[in-house]
Amino acid sequence: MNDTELTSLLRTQLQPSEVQQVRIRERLFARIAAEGAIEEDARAADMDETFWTHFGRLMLWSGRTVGGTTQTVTATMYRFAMV
Amino acid sequence: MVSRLRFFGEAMEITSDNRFDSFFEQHFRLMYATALTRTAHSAAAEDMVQETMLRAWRNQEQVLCLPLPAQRAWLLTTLRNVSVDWVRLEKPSRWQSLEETPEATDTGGETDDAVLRLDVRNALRQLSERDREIVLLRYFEELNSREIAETLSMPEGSVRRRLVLCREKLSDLLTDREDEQG
Repeated sequence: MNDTELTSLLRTQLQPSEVQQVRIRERLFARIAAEGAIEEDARAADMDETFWTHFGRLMLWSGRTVGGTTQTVTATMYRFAMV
Repeated sequence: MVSRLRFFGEAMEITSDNRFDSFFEQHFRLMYATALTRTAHSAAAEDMVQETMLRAWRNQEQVLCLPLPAQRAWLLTTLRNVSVDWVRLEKPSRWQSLEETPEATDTGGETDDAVLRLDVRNALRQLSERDREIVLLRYFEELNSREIAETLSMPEGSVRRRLVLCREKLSDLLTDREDEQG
């Protein structure tokens, strides 16, 4: 058996079929999409948490600085934001 | 500003996906052929390829920057680890043995074709792990000795010597098969 025969034999016998190629690709990219979506959710949750933590701290700081409760400061800021 | 950033982010994602897509296209056939010589069932080989490529995707920032021989080396090492995990976690008995089911390969070919495919896989399995990789890189991926040596980090002379021995062994095994059938 020479090099060419061996190459031809291995390439024909170990090559994935068309159906298998499609199946491997589809399953892989579905898993990648699923992992991507989980990461995206985790990032969004992190951002949400960070935003509300900072917002809360700002409200407390404003309440102490300006005088008044956190609720009144929040209500005032909300009114300004709406205007 | 936000929409601009979002657009830029999406564009970056698309670019990155395209790069991974070409990486996948370039390597998955070799990965499948290698996996086929490590397992008794083509479905298991598909799963191994999928797991290997998923690990490549998770490490794409590192893997896609590597030169081609290093990418192949990374994938072969990962596939080796995946197949070890596979054998440890999944009971091998879950998959029927090669000899029992020539029709089990789901490529839809004739029975003769399926038998030949199994004979080729069985012949390859008689070689050591490193020799199988050398044979596949030479005869399946059609790399030359220098490229194989670069991929497997071994001297070019050793690659040539082992190729001669492997070709003789494979020829014997596959010719014996033809004689038995004839």
